[in-house]
Amino acid sequence: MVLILTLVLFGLFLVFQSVYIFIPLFSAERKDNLVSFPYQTVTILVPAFNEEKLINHCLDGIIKSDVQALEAIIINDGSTDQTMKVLFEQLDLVQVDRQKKVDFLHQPVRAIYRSKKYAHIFVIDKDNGGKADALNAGITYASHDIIVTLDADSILKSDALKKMQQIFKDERVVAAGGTVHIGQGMRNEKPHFLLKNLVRFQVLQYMTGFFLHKKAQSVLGAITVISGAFGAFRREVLIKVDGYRSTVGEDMDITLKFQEYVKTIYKQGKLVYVPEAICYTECPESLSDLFRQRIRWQKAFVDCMITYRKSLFRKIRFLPSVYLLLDSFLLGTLNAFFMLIIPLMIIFSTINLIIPFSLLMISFTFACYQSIAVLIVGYRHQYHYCLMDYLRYFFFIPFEIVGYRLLGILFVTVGTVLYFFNRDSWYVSKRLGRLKLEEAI
Amino acid sequence: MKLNLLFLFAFVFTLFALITNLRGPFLVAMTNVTKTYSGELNLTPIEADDWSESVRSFAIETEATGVTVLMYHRIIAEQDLESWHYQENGKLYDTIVLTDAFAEQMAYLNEQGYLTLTLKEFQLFMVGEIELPEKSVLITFDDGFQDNITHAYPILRRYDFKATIFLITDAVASGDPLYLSEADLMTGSDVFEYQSHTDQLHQRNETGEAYLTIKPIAEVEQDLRASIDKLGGRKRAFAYPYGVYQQEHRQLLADIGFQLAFTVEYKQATRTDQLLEVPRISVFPEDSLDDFKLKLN
Repeated sequence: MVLILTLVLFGLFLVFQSVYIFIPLFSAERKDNLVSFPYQTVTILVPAFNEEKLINHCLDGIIKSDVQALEAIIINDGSTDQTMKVLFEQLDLVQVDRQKKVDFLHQPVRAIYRSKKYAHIFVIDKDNGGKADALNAGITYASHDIIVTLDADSILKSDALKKMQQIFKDERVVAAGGTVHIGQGMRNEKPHFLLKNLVRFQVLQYMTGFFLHKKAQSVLGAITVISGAFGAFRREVLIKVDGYRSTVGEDMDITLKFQEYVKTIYKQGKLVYVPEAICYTECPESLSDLFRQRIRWQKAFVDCMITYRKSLFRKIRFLPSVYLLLDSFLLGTLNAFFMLIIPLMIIFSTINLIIPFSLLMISFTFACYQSIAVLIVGYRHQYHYCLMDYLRYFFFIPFEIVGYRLLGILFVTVGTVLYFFNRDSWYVSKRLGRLKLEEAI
Repeated sequence: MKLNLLFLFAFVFTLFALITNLRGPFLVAMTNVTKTYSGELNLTPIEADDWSESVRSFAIETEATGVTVLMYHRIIAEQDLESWHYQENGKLYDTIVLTDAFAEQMAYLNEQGYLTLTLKEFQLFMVGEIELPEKSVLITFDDGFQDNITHAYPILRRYDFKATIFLITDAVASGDPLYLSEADLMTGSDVFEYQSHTDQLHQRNETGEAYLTIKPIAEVEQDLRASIDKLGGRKRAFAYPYGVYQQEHRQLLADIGFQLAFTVEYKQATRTDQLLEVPRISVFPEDSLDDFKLKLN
């Protein structure tokens, strides 16, 4: 019985893995057409809570963005460190009046400032209310068509916003996610692989997550998370869905709200992934920080799964529902618990070892080919390593598959259990501030 | 695009290679676990009025001077053969006889009026208490494979033949469907006598030495007693795994109370043979009917 269950899960796993390998590989690349105007106007929202070390890198990215019709709003969410001071110094702020565009509930705004150096940059100083609250405050004062949300630890590539604007020329696009690369894995805009293994693991995971998973989901219309690090949304729709909900995983939450919107109200609407719109983010470098981050992600997922469980198939389209239920929930979460007891089952049962061995070999093969597919798809998106780095990459893959990847099981199980026990405590992983803009861009 | 196709080709090729290599053992393992576990083996003891305890009276024209003890292991139908039934040189393993060949051999025995002995009759002949017709034969199967009931049993039953199976009792008790289940043993009990082929010692170590000879004698004794226990006290005969044994094992069998023990020495059994070293003639997969006839004389 357990064995049949295992085989069904395994079959399902292989189906999803094949989808993730072959759809991105064979899907034709969209041709950029740079000529046609006008662009949609863009407001960037950057919620910042205690980001004194990284906020200036993020600002540099925004300032260097090669794009027209742009405004940026940094929302200081009641930081207790020197974030405001850094902003004052960097931007030369003066207090201004600004009209509310909508009436969202959020923590009181203390003051609104505008930069004297960069007229398109604003700062909202408000009481602490969490990331969703900060974003809602941002939406209240945002005036442009497209709202781009950016984490304070993320740095935009100079052409990233332009790529986002282009995708929104298609009226059906209501939301779009960009590519997030690990900043540590970049030097002068070129990727490199001479990194700590823990960072390498995350680099690989992000590449797989965006180049393969997001890409496949985009083709299938099954995007269920637009990363909070870098996403873009039509403002009118954000307002229609009442903005952000205060939760651990406000980015998944807003994405699912958009999925509901395209299923129930705007039937031609779609959520897409834009591989060319790139930002860089700093990833945790220690196991304990990584652990905290992943626990938070898993809690966010469980929270959304519970909140949206009744919307599946009814208010969310078929493919994203299937993806959430089977891949994220069944294979991603339940299966992790199952994986934990598999070694015990092998020890305490008379099962012929050839069965687990066969399954292991097949998943290993899939994992290897997936890692190669990532490189091929990455290469087509101008993600080129030098020869030495390719060698390092290939030597790292086996360790990644049998070592680091298994960490995921731990993150998912612990995260799920913790969600039910201490729902409210969630950590922000430590910012190292080591990521220099010169390195990243 | 070329890269995609190259990738696809390599991927399919690797998977194909993996699947062809793992498919056979995987499927066997799967069929084995999906069947239910039959639990401990616990045969009921032989009753005094059981057919295996009675000695028939025979019309004897010519008295036998020796008796051929035929040794079989597995009886498999040709269409059920899989790659792992073959050795590296492409021949079937010596322990396999095809169902058709087995049917032909039994038909021949029947047509020639052969008497298929019970162990007791054979034993009494060996000690000189009774005489047997010249055309007498003792049919034995080693290990206790499941095909003995599905393939050999119907044929033996057709001619009202008797035979003995030496069971690896632990394998039978494990519920492994490659081996006979307790229910199979019940079904076959009108044709087969069941005796021990050890409980767990039908194995070899990495260097190929049989467990029987490398395990301490006390452990062997324990194993044999466990085996007899599962067989409901049956200990008329024993078959040495791989035909390998030493002097001390003969002594042990005698001490425990076994009457007969069978080796794999390829010759006809005569009264000059030791009761605990009875030779047997193995039937091989490639034997023709003529080869089989030669074995009987």
